[in-house]
Amino acid sequence: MIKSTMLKRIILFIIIIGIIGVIAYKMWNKPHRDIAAAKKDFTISADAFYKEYEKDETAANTKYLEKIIEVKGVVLDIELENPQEPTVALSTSQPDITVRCGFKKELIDEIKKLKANEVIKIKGKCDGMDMFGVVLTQCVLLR
Amino acid sequence: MKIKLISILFASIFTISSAFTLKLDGSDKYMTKNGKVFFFSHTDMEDIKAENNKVASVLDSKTGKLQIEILIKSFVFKKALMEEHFNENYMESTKYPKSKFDGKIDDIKAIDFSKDGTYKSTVSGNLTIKDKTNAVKTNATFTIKDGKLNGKTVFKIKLADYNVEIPAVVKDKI
Repeated sequence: MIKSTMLKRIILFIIIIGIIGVIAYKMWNKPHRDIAAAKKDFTISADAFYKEYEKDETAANTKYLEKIIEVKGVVLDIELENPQEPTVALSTSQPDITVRCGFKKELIDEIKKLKANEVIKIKGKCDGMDMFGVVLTQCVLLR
Repeated sequence: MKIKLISILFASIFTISSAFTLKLDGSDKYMTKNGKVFFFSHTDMEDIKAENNKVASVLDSKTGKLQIEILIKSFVFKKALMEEHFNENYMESTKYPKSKFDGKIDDIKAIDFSKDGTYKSTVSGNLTIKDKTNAVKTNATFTIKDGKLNGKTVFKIKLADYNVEIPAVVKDKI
């Protein structure tokens, strides 16, 4: 009798430890957000997007940071100098300012097919603005 | 539990190393829009690494003036949880999305941009992280090849200098 109570406790203990272990393991290995599958939060043109940033960077950051943006624009440049992150720059009404969209390196062949002046739609995560314009990363092409 | 699990992994010294390839743009300016910065933090349990491929930088080859801008949210970690903690608990990247370096290459005169070669010089200036600015000076290596400039430098940063707080629960363990 005593023995079986003991046994039950040990089994229960092992199960609890097991559950905690599984939860901890799952938390630790939580997957990255899948931007390709994620629903967009905003749809905007590249120029309007930059203009909002130019007007008030803090307000634009509050609105757009970490959000999934679908941006429509004209391809100004394909930037391949960093092989880790092929980038498509969409033009704005300012000559030296673009919306830079960074893609995973696996998508480089798809990026290379794009042509300057082509009108495209891109979905990505907004990281903010630097001296060259607005930055999206983890982008996917929507066409 | 979440915080305990992960936060102990961040050591109190971060290393930011960068490798830029800057292209000549117009007259005397070299620039990159897609420079690379690594973030590295060594701890007993695990080394934490992250990479940012969207670093903006401009160098004036006449004066040596060097500007770098880093968007914190562009850092990619291997583990999503680390990325989340880095952004939320340490860098508070929604409040402080951008870090900057404003300075100069001290020995700019020694660099001959017209021919291939490797040069060593210190880089000094102001580093701003989380709206806190400190004067920094560090060694850098510059390589000129085919009209492109590649710069490599390492910044070692003490968290306390930039208002990066370690969650109280884990302070003792670091």
